[in-house]
Amino acid sequence: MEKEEFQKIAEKLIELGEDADEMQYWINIYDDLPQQQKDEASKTFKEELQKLESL
Amino acid sequence: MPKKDYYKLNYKNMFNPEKDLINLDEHRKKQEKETEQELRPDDETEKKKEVAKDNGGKTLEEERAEQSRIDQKNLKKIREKLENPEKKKEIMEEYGEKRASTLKNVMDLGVKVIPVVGEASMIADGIKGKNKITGEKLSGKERIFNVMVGTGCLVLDFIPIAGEAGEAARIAMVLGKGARIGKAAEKGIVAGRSVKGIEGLSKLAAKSKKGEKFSNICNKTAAFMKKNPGLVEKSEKFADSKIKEYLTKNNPAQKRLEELKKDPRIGSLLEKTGITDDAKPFSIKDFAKEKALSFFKRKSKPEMAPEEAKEDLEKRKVA
Repeated sequence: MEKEEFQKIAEKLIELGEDADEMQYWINIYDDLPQQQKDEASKTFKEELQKLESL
Repeated sequence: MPKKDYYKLNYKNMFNPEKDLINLDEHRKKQEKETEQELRPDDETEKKKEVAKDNGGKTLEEERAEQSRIDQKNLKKIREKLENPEKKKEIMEEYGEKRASTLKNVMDLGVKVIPVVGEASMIADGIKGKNKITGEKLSGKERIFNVMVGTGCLVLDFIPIAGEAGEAARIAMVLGKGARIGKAAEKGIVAGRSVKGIEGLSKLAAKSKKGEKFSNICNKTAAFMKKNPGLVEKSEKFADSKIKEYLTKNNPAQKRLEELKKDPRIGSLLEKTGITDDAKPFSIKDFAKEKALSFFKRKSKPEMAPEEAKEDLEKRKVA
């Protein structure tokens, strides 16, 4: 997943009530993460967004 | 027929029951037709309906009904959201834990790049569950700090002991720097030092090309930690309690004693010194102190009388 897409998801999560500081931290370190962890983080963010939106 | 004409007609022909009654009926029918036309939607509405039919085959009425159904659904969702913040919290907690676990993996991978620091999993379970001190549930941020503080404190204690890792480092921590445990009891091993630890880790990682990105992560995390000193302090307290708990359960000095007891020669010696008393907590430091004192007692001369001591002092002065 590209950083921009990741950032969009993080912004949506902030709108849904996630901690803005923490989301910003993840956006900041995203490029430095190893590929496997990048994928892991993207998947986690996506899943959380889906779950929160489905509430 | 218009009303005026009708009356004119009737007026002209005067009253003819058969004809006029028929006319009256016709008049009524006409009036009914007119009202029907008035009630009927105009051509434009008909046209709109046709247009709507072209748009996905739905009439306006159908669209309106569907829209109201969607509105009802959305309202229900909003109500659920307002009524069920607990569920939202649960989801956030679950994913906060997952994020912290990802960061933990990053840290584990990162410290492997640095040869001196062998392990960083001691505080791993800080990711899960509640804060054991306060009993509160952990937020995603707190979990991140727990991982970082855990990594930071290990780095702090192990980096200076190059070439030694794991258990050896812990033994050094307990025995080599005996005062440390006492200090830890008062102030804590990690208290106020985790950010420095992470910054140190970042510097170490930056030395190799492999560790460049890891170094960036450490730097950014240290900055993030500095922004939240209160939460970091909380994590440090938690880490300190965990370390103390670990060291109490796995006291390396006690372990060593168990090993020594198994050796028949040393075991008998230990029995003579009374160190084998399990009820009494064993301290290598006290043992060493005792041995040293007895050693110096043996080496020192027997006590002299005051006069003799004076003479001895004068002799030494002359010499």
